[in-house]
Amino acid sequence: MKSMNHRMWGSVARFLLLAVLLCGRAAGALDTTDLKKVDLPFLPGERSVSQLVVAPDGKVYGTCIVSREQGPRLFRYDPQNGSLDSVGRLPDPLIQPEDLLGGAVTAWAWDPSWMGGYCLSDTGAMRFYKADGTEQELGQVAGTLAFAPTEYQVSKAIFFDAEGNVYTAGSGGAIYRYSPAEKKLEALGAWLPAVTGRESWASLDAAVLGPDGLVYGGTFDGYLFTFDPKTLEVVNLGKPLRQRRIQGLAFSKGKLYGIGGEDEGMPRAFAFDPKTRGFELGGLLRADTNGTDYPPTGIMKGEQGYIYEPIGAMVTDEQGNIYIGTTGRLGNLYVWEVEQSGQS
Amino acid sequence: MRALRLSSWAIVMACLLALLAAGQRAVFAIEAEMYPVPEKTHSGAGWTAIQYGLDGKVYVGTGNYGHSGHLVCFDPETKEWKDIIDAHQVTRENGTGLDSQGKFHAKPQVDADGVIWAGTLQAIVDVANRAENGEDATGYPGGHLFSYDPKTGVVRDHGILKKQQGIMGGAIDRERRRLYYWSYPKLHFLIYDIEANTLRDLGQLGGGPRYMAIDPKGRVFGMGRFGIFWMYDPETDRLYDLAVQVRGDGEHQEPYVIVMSADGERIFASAIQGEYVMEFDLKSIDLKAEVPGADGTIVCYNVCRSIPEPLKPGDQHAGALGKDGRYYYTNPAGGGTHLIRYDPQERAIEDLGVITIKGNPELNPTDAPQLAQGACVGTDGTLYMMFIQHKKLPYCVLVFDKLTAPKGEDE
Repeated sequence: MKSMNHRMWGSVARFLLLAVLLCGRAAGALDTTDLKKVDLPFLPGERSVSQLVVAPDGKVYGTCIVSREQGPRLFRYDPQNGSLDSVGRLPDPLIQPEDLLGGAVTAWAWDPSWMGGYCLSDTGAMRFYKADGTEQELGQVAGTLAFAPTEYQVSKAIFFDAEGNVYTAGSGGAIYRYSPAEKKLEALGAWLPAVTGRESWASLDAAVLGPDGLVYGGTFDGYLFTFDPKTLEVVNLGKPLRQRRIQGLAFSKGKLYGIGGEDEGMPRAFAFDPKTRGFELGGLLRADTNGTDYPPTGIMKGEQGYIYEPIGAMVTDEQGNIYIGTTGRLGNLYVWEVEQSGQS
Repeated sequence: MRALRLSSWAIVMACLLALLAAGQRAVFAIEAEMYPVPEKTHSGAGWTAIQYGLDGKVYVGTGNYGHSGHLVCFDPETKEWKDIIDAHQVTRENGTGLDSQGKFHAKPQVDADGVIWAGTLQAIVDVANRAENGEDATGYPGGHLFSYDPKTGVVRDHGILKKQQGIMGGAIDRERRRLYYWSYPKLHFLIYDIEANTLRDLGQLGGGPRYMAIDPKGRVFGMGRFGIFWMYDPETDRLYDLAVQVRGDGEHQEPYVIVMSADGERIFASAIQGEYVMEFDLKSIDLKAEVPGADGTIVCYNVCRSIPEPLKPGDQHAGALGKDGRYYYTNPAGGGTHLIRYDPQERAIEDLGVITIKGNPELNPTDAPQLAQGACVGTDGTLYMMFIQHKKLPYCVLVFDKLTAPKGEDE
């Protein structure tokens, strides 16, 4: 009888332990293991996603850089029916991506009207292009790395405030603003977070305007920060991952979602809740693990479905779904259905 | 009455003998000599890495989990083994666990001058728990490329091909003096120029083929994304993703083993649990065909069943082209590992029987998956197959003497 009681309590204890473990995992884990893959209709080598935007009609537009000679590839994804089409051109009179990408470009963005666009050249000059084909050099932004006078540390992100002012970061981690109204480019006296001695590596990897009016950004060294365009205050939120680089940022349902990691390493996800000011740490990104791409016996198919290449762009649609564009020869579009993953 | 009992007994015995005889006919065997890989060089397994050298010796890459992988060689004449490369000793690395140079997984390649090329892989293939890929300077340093010259006995370390990634696959273009690999885990196609000692990375393949094939034109082939067979053409210096067009019964199954035919116009293939022997027709490659997301098409014939009925196909993990132009592969089923021969002229298979160990039947391979891990063929047609440790069977090379020699040369 005593032995039976022991067995019973042992079973109960094991059940409770399992329940605690399972609940703990559900509460703490950021699940990025079941992203939906949307195959791009472009040839291998023409699929490296560099830009994603949500148009006023709710459709997601994306651009893949091919080469200077061939110009970019454009695609349009309809979240309503899940269809993806190759698009030859954006409707006139909007500016076409090829009009923005005439030179060697590290960062670019359509302006909020889609009638023009801003670029950072690979030597860190900021330029503005209009749909009528005119080009305007706005000034030098990026600086060079310490002890490497020809190595420019150029930011990969350009962002806008609610008034249409254009921001990026440049020399020594300084935040720059271009005012289209005043036609003025200036360093604001606000600086990206950086440890002493690594200021020249402090470039802007990603940025997104939050619902609280603050800009949430990520640096080359992997720091997450907020920037208030009104007060110019920068707050260092810390490093969500041990790796450098913040490859992409997007807001969904009040939380900031990000993907970070070295280009040579593996992309990993994290989330930041502005209410609690806490991070949730995720893991590797994985797509369609139950689909035909990764049969249980086929370990060599994409080596278990993980995403190995850096993120080129990230954006959120009106429903809060996050779109992730990957780079490389076989870049693709992935949909992270945040709510369905249990992260709301 | 006693006579009746005796005659009944005789009938029962006769029936039993007949049944036994029938059984013996159904479960026929093919014998192989077994040579265990030296114990100090492995932890019970090796993967894909077996190759026959121009010096008449068989080169085997071992898996030594958490420790140093070895390249060893077996002399079919003396039946002796020699330790050629101890990866940690040559590289002076001392990584342990995930960070050790724990495997030679890529198939060793044989240069025109007889030099053997071999590359290492991280010990444990587990993407999710390999946080340091490309990120942690103290993690796995990356797979080393080695050469071994049997004439001089000199081993050279040509360095790490791709930072913190392992070396997999393997094909050699002796004319252009190039080696082809892919990097693990990022699946990038790598071209190593032997003369210039330089490396190029052509980007993602979408799949990680343990076997790669090269045709007489120097075109390299392997499996990519699902339903894609990729091709690298040295003339255009481009990778092409070819959508597989299936002909014959059944659907396309992703191959594991691929082997170039003797005429260089077809690739024989077997899938893990693949129902069919497959033939990729290289003459069918159409780079003008328009398929979304692919550069062209290639036709793959599901030619015939991979194992005679009623047996169900098992894990087909090892195969090689025989000197007779036929394709030899293993197919575990019905309690043992069958050795099968596919004849491209007849477009039919022949079950050569269940593999048994000469003199040691208690060691016979079972039908467990992944036992046979690689194969190569000697100049005299002898088939060498690498088996991993399982139950009583040690990690070993099985030798099928002159099995694949053309008719008339096997006497």
